[in-house]
Amino acid sequence: MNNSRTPLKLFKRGFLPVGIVFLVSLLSPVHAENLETNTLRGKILYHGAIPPPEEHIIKQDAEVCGKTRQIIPVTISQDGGLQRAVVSVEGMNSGSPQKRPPLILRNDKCQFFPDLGIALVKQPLEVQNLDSILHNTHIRTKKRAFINVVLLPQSKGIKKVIKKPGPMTIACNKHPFMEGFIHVFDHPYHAITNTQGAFTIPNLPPGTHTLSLWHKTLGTIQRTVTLPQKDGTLLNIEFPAP
Amino acid sequence: MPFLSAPMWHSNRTHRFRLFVLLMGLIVGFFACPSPSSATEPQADLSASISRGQQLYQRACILCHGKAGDGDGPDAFYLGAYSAPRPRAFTEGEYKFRSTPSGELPTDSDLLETITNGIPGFMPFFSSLAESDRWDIVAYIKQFSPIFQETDKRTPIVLPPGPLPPNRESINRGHELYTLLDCEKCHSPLAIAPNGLYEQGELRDRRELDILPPDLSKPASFKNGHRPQDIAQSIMTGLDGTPMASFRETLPRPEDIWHLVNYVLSFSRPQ
Repeated sequence: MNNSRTPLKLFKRGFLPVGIVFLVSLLSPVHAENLETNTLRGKILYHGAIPPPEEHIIKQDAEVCGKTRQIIPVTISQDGGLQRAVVSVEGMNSGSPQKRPPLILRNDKCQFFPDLGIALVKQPLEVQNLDSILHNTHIRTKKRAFINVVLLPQSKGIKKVIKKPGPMTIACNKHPFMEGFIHVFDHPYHAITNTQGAFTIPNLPPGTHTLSLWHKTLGTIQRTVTLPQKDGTLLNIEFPAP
Repeated sequence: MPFLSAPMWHSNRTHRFRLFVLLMGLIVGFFACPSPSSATEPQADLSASISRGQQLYQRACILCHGKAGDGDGPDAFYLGAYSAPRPRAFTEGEYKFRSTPSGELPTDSDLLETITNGIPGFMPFFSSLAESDRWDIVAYIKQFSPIFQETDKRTPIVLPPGPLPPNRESINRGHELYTLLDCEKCHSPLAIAPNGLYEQGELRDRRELDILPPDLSKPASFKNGHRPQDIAQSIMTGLDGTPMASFRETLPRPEDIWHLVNYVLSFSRPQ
């Protein structure tokens, strides 16, 4: 009677079978199916009118910033590939994002670097000033200020954690020709188009998705795409003229 | 022995089982029963407060701030439809006058203070209303934007010990800072007429409306108050939605804020 209740036997009778069932369940086809992903590859094309570059005559701090600044509204490749568009998949949420190192936003020769950046929710943003002049960095969401701070010449970073997804604009009230954009996501399914207008979004579950396409001059559009189970097709998406 | 031991063993098991049930019952009961300070009571208080606040809002605030709280009431037009400042749009959850860092929401006390003291030249003060009525208005205006529900913490900044005496040394240091921090780009060296960026048409508020920096020689017109601590707060937190940035992390030394305040107040004092 006593022998039948030894800890080893209890373990064999109780935990071992449960453990085996658990391990087998990990290898089951249900899990394998959930892990199946594919890579979305595409190209954003634009064949509309291209606005002329904006020329700014610099009145403040021209010795550091230069005398003029040209802002290019739309840049396309030879075959119409739209550069610097932000592509993201809507309706995705990866739960609680992992801790990430800060996104460094530099004021350098009166330009923001990066002037088009991507951040994740809960990621800290660190603003730095590498110039020998005072800068202001005014970052706004659609409705509210995220931060509006002044940075002394060559000053250490001012940090603030980003809490919400969405697009943000970066400006300097002192140097109105400075511009920048940060897009904040709560998932990893996003990309910025390269010099050919191409983008790649890996590890995406197959199926129908709504893509959001943003461009600083052309605005935001949505397109529905279907990602097959295996292999891939190169999607060509035309960005309409505003 | 087997005859005797079996019932004894049985009674022990039963006893243990009863104890176990009793213990579980106590644990479940402890968590299941509502405590005397149940969450439902403050909720009831809050909705009553919002309801009273709504009635007061519809009498005192609606003409400028609008029925929907979007800052576009019928009288808002007469404040200057095409120039800043416009009445606050509560729907957007952005506030100029706060004790909290740049980009954060104001505390309830900040909202109460603005309602109590008004904004010189723009918003009447409502100190004649009972304090409980003003708190009800605070509760109501927070309902216009979901952001107050989404934000759990609103922590005021801490000003360094001060103010400091406005002696010559302090004012001189304030003057140095005024130049170092480029205050004169918006507020002009004489602090009276706007210059620089405003004249170039580059000072705009969140609605892209031209916004005039204050005349620093007239502290009574300062919208966020003219006591040293009010001016210090405006400089430290910035005024969200306007070009006025936060200098909290810019000042070389914490006490510099009081030197800068002394310099700003020196414009309105006989030299």
